[in-house]
Amino acid sequence: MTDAQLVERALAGSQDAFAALVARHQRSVYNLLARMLRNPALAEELAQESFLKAYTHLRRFNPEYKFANWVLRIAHNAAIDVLRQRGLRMVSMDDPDTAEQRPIEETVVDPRSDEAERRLERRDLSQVLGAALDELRPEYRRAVVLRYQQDLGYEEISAITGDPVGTVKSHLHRARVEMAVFLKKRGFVQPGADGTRRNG
Amino acid sequence: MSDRPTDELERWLAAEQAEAIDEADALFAVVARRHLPLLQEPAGLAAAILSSLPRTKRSRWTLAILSVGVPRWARATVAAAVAVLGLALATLSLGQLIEFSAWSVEALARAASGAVAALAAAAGVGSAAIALLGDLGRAAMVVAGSGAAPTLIAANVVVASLAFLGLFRLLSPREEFS
Repeated sequence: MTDAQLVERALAGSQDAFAALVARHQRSVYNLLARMLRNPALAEELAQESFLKAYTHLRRFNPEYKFANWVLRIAHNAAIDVLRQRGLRMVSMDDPDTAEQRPIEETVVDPRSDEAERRLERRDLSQVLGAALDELRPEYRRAVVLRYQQDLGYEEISAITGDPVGTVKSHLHRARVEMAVFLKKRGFVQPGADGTRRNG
Repeated sequence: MSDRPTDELERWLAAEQAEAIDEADALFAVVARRHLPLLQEPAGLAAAILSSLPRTKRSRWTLAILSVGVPRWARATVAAAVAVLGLALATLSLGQLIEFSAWSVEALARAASGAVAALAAAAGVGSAAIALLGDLGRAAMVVAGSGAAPTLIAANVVVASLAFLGLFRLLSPREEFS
């Protein structure tokens, strides 16, 4: 069943239909909020508020628009309001401490094997990419999340954030460059392997 | 595609370095898809969302009424007053209740008659004010037609200024002698 059909049913009074929409989009909404705010508890609270707002304003939803983008826009605006109101203490969502919570199969491979090395590499890369994302300015961070994690087009990102398409493209370009610099500083690229110029 | 995670990373970085923006965009999308997964929502988020939804439109309306910004002490006072009134009514006999009702009706009639009289008085004052404004308008038209308007306006300004100064001196606090 499509989102539009679920919205129709929810408007007719079916909470099960709305529950299906929540199940489908809660991760995207939470991810955007957590990445923007870098505060898991606040992200959870705002995710809840965003879906509640979507539910109470469901009649205003334009079916020509994607429900996913609409609810992301609600969440984005809520996050912007909070960022403006509060001076938040930001914590990394990819703190190395959380690595202990990873699936156990990642830790039971023979540590001398190539596979173990690759897994370690992947895990480290995920952590470092997450940390690089956290280091970005909020407007770059949200652009990266919407483009590369939600697979949205420039126009869709523009509709959610309110930034012109040119600004979205510029934010994405600068974000990628800053992330590349972050990775290089942490020695993630073999010298000469990326063909980059080096200072000195 | 190579199995080494850093291979795709290096291809992306090379594209970035070559300022091949579209290629870098596509290659970073590959990197992000494999190595930058969505953060997992906390367990129970959906349940919390669903439990926070209002059950029906009626309950939403009721909640809106109840959530009017009145302080708790005011709500408690009103609730206590209603409770006391209810208890008092419960202790009345049927005869007392009828007597009380009759007295209430009489008081209500008196209040209504008072309100009507007040409205009539207000209407009288209003009509007198309208008549006065009409007279003033006619007088203004006569004065404007006579050619003496500038003189009269200047005289009025002088009188008003003198009155203001006089009142200012009269009402200002006295200076303390040293």
